Amino acid sequence: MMKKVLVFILIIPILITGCWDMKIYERIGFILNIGVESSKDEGLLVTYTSPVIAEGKKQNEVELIEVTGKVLRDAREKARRMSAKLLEAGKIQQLFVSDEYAQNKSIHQTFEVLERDPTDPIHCWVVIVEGSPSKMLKALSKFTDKPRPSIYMDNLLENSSKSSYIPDTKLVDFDICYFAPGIDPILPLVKLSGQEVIAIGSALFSGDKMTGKINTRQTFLTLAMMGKAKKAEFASIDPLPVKPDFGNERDMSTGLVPVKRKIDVEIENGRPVVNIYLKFNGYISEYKWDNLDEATVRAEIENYLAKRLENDCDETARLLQQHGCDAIGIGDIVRAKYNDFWKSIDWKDAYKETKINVDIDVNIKQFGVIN
Amino acid sequence: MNINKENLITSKQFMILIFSTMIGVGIISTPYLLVKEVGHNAWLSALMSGIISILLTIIISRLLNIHKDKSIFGINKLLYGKYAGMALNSLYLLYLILKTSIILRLIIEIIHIIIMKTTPSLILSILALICPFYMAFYGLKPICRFSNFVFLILVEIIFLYFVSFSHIRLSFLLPVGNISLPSLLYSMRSTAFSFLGFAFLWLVYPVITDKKNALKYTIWAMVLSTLLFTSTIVVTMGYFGENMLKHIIFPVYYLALVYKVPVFERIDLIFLVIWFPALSMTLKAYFFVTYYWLYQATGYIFPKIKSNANAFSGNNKNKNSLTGVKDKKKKIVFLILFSILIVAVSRILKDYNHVLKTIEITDMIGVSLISGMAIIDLIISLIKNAAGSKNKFKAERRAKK
Amino acid sequence: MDDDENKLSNHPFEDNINKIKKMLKDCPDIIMRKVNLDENKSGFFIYIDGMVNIDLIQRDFVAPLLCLSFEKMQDEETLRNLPVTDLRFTDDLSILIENVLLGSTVFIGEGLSRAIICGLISFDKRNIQEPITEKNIKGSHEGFVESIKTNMTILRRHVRNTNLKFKMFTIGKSTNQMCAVAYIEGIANPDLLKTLCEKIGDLNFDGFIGVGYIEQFINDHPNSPFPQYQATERPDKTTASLLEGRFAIMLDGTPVVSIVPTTFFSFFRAVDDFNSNWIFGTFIGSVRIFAALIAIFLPGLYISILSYHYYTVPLSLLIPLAESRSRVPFPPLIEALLMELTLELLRESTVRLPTFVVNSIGVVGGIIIGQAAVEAGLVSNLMVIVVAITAIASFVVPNSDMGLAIRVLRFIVMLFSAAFGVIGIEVTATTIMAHLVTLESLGQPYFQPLIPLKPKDFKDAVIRLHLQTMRKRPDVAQPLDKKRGSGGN
Repeated sequence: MMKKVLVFILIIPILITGCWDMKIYERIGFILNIGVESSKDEGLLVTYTSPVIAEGKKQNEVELIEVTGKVLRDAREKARRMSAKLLEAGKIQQLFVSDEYAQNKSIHQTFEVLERDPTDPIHCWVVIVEGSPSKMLKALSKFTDKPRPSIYMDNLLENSSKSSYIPDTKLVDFDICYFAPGIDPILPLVKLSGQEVIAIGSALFSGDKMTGKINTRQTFLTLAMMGKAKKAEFASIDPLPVKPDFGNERDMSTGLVPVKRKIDVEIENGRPVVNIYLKFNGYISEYKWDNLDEATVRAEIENYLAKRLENDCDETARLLQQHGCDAIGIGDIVRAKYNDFWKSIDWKDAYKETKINVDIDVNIKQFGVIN
Repeated sequence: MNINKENLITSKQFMILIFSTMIGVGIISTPYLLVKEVGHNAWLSALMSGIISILLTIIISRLLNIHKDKSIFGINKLLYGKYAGMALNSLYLLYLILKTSIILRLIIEIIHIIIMKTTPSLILSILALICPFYMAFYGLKPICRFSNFVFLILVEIIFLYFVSFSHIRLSFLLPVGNISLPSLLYSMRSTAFSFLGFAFLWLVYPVITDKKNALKYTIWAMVLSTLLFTSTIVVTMGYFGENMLKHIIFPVYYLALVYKVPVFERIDLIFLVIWFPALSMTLKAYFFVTYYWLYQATGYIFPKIKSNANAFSGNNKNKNSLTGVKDKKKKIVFLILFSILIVAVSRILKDYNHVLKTIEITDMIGVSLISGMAIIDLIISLIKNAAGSKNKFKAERRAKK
Repeated sequence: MDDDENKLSNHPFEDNINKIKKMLKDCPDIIMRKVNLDENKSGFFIYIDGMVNIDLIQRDFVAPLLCLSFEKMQDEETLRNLPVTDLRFTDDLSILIENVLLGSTVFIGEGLSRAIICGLISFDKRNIQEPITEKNIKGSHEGFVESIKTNMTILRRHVRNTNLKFKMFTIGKSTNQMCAVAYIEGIANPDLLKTLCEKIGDLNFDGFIGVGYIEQFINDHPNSPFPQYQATERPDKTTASLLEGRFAIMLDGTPVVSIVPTTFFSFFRAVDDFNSNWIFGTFIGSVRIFAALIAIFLPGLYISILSYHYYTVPLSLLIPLAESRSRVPFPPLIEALLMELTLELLRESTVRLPTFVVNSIGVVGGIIIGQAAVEAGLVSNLMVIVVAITAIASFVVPNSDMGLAIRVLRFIVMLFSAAFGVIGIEVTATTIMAHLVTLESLGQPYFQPLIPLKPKDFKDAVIRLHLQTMRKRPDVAQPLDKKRGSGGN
């Protein structure tokens, strides 16, 4: 009797089924990239790219749809009316935002639909484009010597972030930094130039709006100060002129891997003072042919590098403060350790008054196979 | 109340039963409520809830030791007389029915929100109830055996925490304790949903074989689940920060959503799929306990329904006896009616936020009922015992003279 | 038949002979040979031609018996000196007939108080060879045969111990087959033995063609797809199980032996695992369990991902998969069912075909149907791969009963996953787990040592550790003597 009941219960669902939520795979158009900028009237100009599924000839084609809408979902509905496939946002790889849009409107509000829907990935890249994302996507889809736009951009961003040229900020990281009261997010910055897309650094944000830009070297240093610089790859510093003690002046190039970071915040006279200590391991890639076996030469190079890096760090910190972007998270530390002080001030103003001291140590580890 | 000897459970099995019941649905849905109230001190709140639950467990166990081999319903009837005891019991039964329906509704909401949006809830209810129905027929022992699976499943949650460990910012958890004690205590009502699992002790007590170990193992279960809860809150708080966490309704699921795996890219679906048996475990345990006591209660009021084989027994080995078959049929009919009742009650609520509000109300009722009954019953029993032993003492002295 | 009716000494000789002749009417293979004794008395030799050892009977039973004088023939003490190994006396007609049917030669003499039974049985049987269904690499290649006496001999050769006991039963109303339960006394649990013997004693059916008939009558959960008894043809596997305290049910007429009680994990172990290094035993054991999981869930997973959860597909697979799916006119469920059913047809046809056709079917099925289906646009490439992997995975399980269970479960999972996506798979998996947890084999929990948790049995069932760590017998059969190596004494 029990078994009969069980069998009956098991069969009912299959009989009543209408497959309510079915989304057949090949009828779905996967949106891989979204480009957002302000349109001439009040809303957004949204560009969608989705790959064209065909055999043989058209290997890398993408379908590009451009619509305007008030909010993102509105735009997607409009795009669905134009496309043969059911456009779904479950596999978005990158979101491109124009810098002008980022400066005036709130990114968090715009992309909030992606967080609400559990099928949308929230670990997709958010990238600021200098210029118009729509133009960039159009150009990308026409490149003949590169793979599909989304895969090309994915590889580009992945590789650049591994070398710490751009920050590795996904949508969820952006949100975490945005919500936390003492940290501000930074986002990767790219530019279309001729036949390529170049990663040129990062965009600084204060709260939700973009306030400034820094180049790749400064991004590396910022990431090192945040403690988030990648440890596996190293950033090659632009060639530095060597002191003219050894005859002909020659530029030098070094790879750097950050190994240690210590950050310390104190309140002095109602003003936060931050001491950051960074330690790098260096790998010389290009130098004058000889003399590296002498300890004095190595020590001189290390000192030189350390001083140079300290200067650059001070300049970067100054830029960050100027644009009001607390990427390093000093505010967070102040809130955690000196909560009463935090409550008594407005961090946005206090940040500009903060004194940041950077102390750097460089250790040259390897020189390659010649000395 | 005759108990089929083959389906007694040991206290170790009871420990695993309680542990899996408490964390099944609790981990996915509860931290949200807690964090909304107290912010980054939520882990303190969870810790304190654990401690208070352990205290209550000790009180309950003391109570049960005084009245040997009885469940709370028996104790109530004993202490308050027939009619008052029955009234109290019915109140408690109503609370249990409500809670089972809420758990069913929670599971359906989780499936609705995360996986399938438009599938009708009725179909999902049937699907979710297949397993509890099947196991309620077989009794308590298979349910305890099934709960052992939770240990395997726990590995995935621990793996998730390890993997997110590097992204945790301890500063999100500081400063500690900048919140007033009364509001901390008040916020503990949000954890009551899962932590009230210790109340199983006085519902299932008669079938535990080694009763003297029952207290020890129950406390172990509470300690483990408190640890798990606290670490959940610590990890999710450290990862997301309290402001963001106030917006996320399923923090642990969000943690799985965020992690990008090298090959498969997204593991949130796999996470939910593997966690599903634990969710259904909570439903199974509550379903069975409510069904069993409802069966007993209706058997008491309407003697025709009552039968010789009771629900704690499983498959009646005596296939040929007439009473065996009739009892099975009665059981199945009752199970079907009970399932319909639970599904109907669970449809009353409108949407997830409504569910959350109802959880708060139900848990307030639950906390007051349970702690009230526990403390008052214990006091009355102690007084009675003292009076009883005083009488015994007097009788002995008289006998000596 | 009434006892008095049966007794030979109660009736005159002629009556007895007539009774026997009536019973043996139209049985030309049962021969009644009349001989003349002294004093005008007659006697009959009754035997089945083809079941007796004619040479030995003529030389050692008939000849010396007929040389005896009539007085000596009536003296049973003299008769005991006949040079045959198995000599018994009986007064009971039914026992007489029973022994004739077993292959003994019976002599009834006029004037003799009892009939003489001589059991020099010899009949044609299959040679001992390796069972075709259970092959192994490093162990013995012996297998059981149809004759129960030979099987008992094989077991006795493996376990040279007087503690190896056989409890004999005669079952089957019309077939009167012999059935034996083998166990090692001192290790096996007497309560379990009693339960088992009661169950076999209660058997009430026409005839038991195979040991599977017995299994179906005495198992606790007749409606469960999972086998609760382990069937094997190999004596080494049987010996290993007997040493753990299990019981082996042997049936005359079938070489398959049924081992009980069993657990879920013993279906994933082959004898080879214990014969080689423990590392490989563990590795291959886990490969088998993994294969069983794949065989049940992979098609369902494929269907549910393609129908409901497109977003779980990784980026690198996204576009090639869409391209190959775009040419297929059917939804994923129909496509999967089509391929799976074709594979089932293929499998069923190869099992019972003569061997010389099997190889060509393999080629036809594997290569041509798969490739042609893709070319014709009926299925996608990935579906063919999925089906092929599933089929191979389902062959990995060494036991055929469990393999059948997995095949059927796969279809249920596919149906549910097409209706409800991943939740369908979920509910099915949970129900299967719940079912496994309630199953019992001869009263012992089916899913141990995982549930109920018995860590010390892990080293035997789930993973395989060094043989030196296996000093204690596993708990499955509740053995009396826990420590191995004390000789079962």
